[in-house]
Amino acid sequence: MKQFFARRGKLSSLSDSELVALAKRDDAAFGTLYERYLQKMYSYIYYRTGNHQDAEDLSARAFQRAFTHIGSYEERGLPFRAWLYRIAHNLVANWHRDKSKRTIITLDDYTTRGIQRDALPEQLAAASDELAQLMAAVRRLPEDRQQLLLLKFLEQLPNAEIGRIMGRSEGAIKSLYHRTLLALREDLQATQALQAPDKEG
Amino acid sequence: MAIHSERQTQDWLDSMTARLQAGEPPPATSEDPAAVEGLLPLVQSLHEALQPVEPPPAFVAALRAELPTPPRRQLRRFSMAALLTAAGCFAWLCSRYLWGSAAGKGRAKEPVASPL
Repeated sequence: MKQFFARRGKLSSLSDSELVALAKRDDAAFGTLYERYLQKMYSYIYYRTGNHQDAEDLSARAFQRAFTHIGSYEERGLPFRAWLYRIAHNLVANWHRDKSKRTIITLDDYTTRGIQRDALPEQLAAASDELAQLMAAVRRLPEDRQQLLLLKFLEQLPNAEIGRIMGRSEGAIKSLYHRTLLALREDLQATQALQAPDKEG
Repeated sequence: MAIHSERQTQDWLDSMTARLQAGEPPPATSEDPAAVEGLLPLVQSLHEALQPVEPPPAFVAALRAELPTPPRRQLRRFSMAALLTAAGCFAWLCSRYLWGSAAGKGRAKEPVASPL
């Protein structure tokens, strides 16, 4: 047992590239990669699908696909993390295409996140409403823009790595980010303008 | 920092986002021209809204237990089964051939019944 934990500890100190090289013949190394990236993949897929059930299903498929193809994967400018995100992205894209189910994200799980706990109920409701509007606007964005926002905010990846995942240059990512924020601002302003007469009335 | 071109706006947004994510406040000297008005609060809101989601522990454990077994080992098992089947078929064909040729020889030695 001690040996198992010692080995596990040793594996977790290795870099992705070292683990990938080992994972080609050692399942335990893949297990370490799995532990390292499960939450990230899950979060990414959860925000793209909007529900836990599909996030579980697609995360499982992403890791099984990675596990199946790890033997033939070679880094060549595409780090393991970027490769994994590409797998997840393709699965999510197929999911949207096949099932045509653009579920509006259930915001129950995270509407209260980022809001001060000691906020008054009306402040809480307003903040929750704003957050719901923001998330709905994010989900109305084209697929590539949603992907960019998730990689930038959820994963906090640098532009160069986002570019590798999305197959674009660093400059193109910066430009897309700018345009995405402008589109988001416009969408939110339009939503607020639509709601304003309702509130007045 | 005055912003003149779109390229500069992009760089400004990028550095502001990085500062925000690092927990640093935006610099006091920064201007907020019309081109970027409202974008910084939007970045702040996105930063607060898009937080990691914990997968359910039961799912994590189930997938962890499942992972080492599926595809690659299944493939190995499938390859082994295919190899054994092929070997079995080969052995069966060989035995049929050998038995057939031996039976053929035996049959040749048997006297042919005359119609008369």
